[in-house]
Amino acid sequence: MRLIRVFFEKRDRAKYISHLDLTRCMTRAFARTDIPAWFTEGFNPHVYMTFALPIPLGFEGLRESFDFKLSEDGYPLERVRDQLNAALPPDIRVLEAAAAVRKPEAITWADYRITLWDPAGGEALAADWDRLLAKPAIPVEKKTKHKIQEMDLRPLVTQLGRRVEAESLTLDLRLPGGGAMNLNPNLLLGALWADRGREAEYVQVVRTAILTGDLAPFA
Amino acid sequence: MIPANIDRQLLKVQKPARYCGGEMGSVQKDREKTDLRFAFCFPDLYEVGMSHLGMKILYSLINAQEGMWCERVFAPDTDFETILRREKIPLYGLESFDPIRDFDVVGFTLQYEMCYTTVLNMLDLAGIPVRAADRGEEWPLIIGGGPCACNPEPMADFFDLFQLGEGEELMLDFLALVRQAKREGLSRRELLRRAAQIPGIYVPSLYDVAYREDGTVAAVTPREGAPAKVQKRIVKDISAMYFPENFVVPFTEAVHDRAMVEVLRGCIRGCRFCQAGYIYRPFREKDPEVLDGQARTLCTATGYEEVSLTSLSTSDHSRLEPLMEEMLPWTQQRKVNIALPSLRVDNFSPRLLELVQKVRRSGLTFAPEAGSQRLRDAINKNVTEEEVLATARTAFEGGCTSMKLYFMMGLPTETMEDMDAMLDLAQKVVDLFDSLPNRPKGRGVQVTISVACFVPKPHTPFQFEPQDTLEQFREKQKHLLETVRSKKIRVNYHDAATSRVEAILARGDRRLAPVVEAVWRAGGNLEGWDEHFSPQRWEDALSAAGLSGDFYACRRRDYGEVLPWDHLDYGLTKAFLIREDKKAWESVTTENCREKCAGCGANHLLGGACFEAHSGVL
Repeated sequence: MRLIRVFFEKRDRAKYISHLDLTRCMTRAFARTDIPAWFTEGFNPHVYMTFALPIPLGFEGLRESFDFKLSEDGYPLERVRDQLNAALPPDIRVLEAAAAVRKPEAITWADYRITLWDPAGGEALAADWDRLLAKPAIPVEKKTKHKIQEMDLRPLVTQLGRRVEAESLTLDLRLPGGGAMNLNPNLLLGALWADRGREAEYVQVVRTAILTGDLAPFA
Repeated sequence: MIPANIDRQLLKVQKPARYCGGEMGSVQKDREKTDLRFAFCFPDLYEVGMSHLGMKILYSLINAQEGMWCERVFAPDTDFETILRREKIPLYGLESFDPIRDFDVVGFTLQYEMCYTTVLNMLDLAGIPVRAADRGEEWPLIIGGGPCACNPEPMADFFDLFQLGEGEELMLDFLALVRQAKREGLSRRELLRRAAQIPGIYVPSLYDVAYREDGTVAAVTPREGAPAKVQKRIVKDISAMYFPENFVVPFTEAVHDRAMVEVLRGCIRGCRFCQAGYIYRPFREKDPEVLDGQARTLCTATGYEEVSLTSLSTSDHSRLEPLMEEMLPWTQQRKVNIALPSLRVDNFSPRLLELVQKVRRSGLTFAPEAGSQRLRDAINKNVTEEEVLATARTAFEGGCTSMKLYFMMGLPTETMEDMDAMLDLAQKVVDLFDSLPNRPKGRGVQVTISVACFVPKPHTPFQFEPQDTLEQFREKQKHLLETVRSKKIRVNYHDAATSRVEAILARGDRRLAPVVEAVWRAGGNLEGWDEHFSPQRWEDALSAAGLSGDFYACRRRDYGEVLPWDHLDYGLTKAFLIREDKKAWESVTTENCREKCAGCGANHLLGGACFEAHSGVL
């Protein structure tokens, strides 16, 4: 039995699939292949599969991952990739299947490219964004299952890049990701909307990388 | 790629996956290499339409043709509709995102009457004029099919043509003509004239309907060489018939999200209220070897964890047992569940029962339809109380603690005693449970009786019968609720107002077209969903048109009356339907088709007897 990590991208039409639907889609993809995947042994046996950092509906992901177990140790990993690609819809592509190196708990950061469009134009958007980022604190209320929690987003945001175009603003951000601390970019965008008084007309979010504490790509 | 103007909107709506396609099994083609674009429209939400086998068959069939591209279109939910209208995004095909108004053919499947206003709304969202008379050469052909095509008269003004019966062969004949018409530059008028010559195609604009003073039909007269009667199409050998090797597998869950194979067509039972039992005749079975192969192929291609053996009455397949024997080993090995909807309990061999119990895990449901044996005889529903109780006993002893019984109210010949008999039957099931020494411990039994309102349908023996008035229905519902004595019996019933509109449309004529249009213009859409249905809109539109709902719903038809659908031939003779209706009033049953041919006429569609054993008799 080998623990295998499958890296994939989820783009275009596939970004509107929820996490639950993505799981079901992967389960059915396995059923369309002859990959010797290990099944759970409960009342309702299914392919064992865990997603390290589920991606929210509406986001594209350039290097997402999930783990499964190969019950035949010698089964070639290129074949896992090719078989899954043949069994998946065109907008979900497997990039690589490899032996899992780090534990999912090692995930600490996630990088996002966020593009905002607004009739007000890129310059105005950039001014609004810069004003938010210049604040000493960005307090928000985060709803968890049991309570509403006050938190300050400002120390959690690292800006890696910022590009202004006529109608849009593109931000490259590094945010905490993983089980210990996770910041959904939508929470940050919500703070931006609150601060500037309205939403941007159109937002695209792409998760470009998932990183461990030492800033290495999660592998 | 999702076009930016659509992509910008999708995060603002519930379940955006319904509106962007891209599922496994969806078909992409090169626009440059297609000369015929077909929009297959299902006038309901994605999750309903994606459960429908007929759409899957025709989608794959058309896409299997070189140069033809069939796309799927579903009704948007109200949140997305608001956005489509505000942003002026015309209704598009899920595969290409191209506006369907630019397609060659826009086809609607008409599964139930309550979708009629949704059809108009979808045409309007596409930017297509709803009335056929308002559409010039530049517009796509608007065609319809499905069960409601057996009396499409209330929709006749909106469609260019209807396909009657089964589409596997008819659709290709029709599309060949469309292609020829494009090549030769035929006018729409000429194309329709030629289409009317294809068996199974009904072009309503080639028929004049005259009415009598009392509102009944005087005559339906064909013009321009159209046939006096249009006979529905069937496929004689369903084992050799086209069947898809793959389905579109939705990301977001559909109502029925599983592989399906169709084990048989038609029904041998002849329940007198059941339209499906008549309009899909004659009875034909698919060979078990073919079914097993199709099920394997589909499960391999889709990865589905369940395959359903569908039909009107799956246990009436004469070789279900060998089929199950064949399927069990590989389905168990591949962890695929076999679903068996539509089983009758009266025709099981012990071995088949054993096989079925291996795969069955759903709840226990039964459809006696009527409470008393007398009324069950009148409607020809040949289920006895003993059978219901015997099955309940087996189920209870096996650990089951609930049972669902389906009934109808307002059936022809029904009395209040028949209504009381529903509760008596439910009580007997409760008493049976309580009397069993080995019943499941710790929990009481729950019997749910679900009571629908009877809707008389065309091409059935009850097409002549009146529907109960709303007052009668409500009085019966009230009586039912007042007479429930036990907390172990739960009563569900549907609102009678929907059933009344169904009855009006099901047996309606062309004078209802302005009514359907007025209801849609007043906001009618997705009316199969209770939250979108308003009976008042229908009553208002009927009065505005000077028509009476009672005339269509609650009037007994004379056997001699020209019915609005008499020129549409579903293989059944009117004499047979009259004979069956008369037998209902005498509470006399009719044998099932396998026991004895009742002479309905549908065997003529086959050109011989339906069952080999009868071939010498006819």
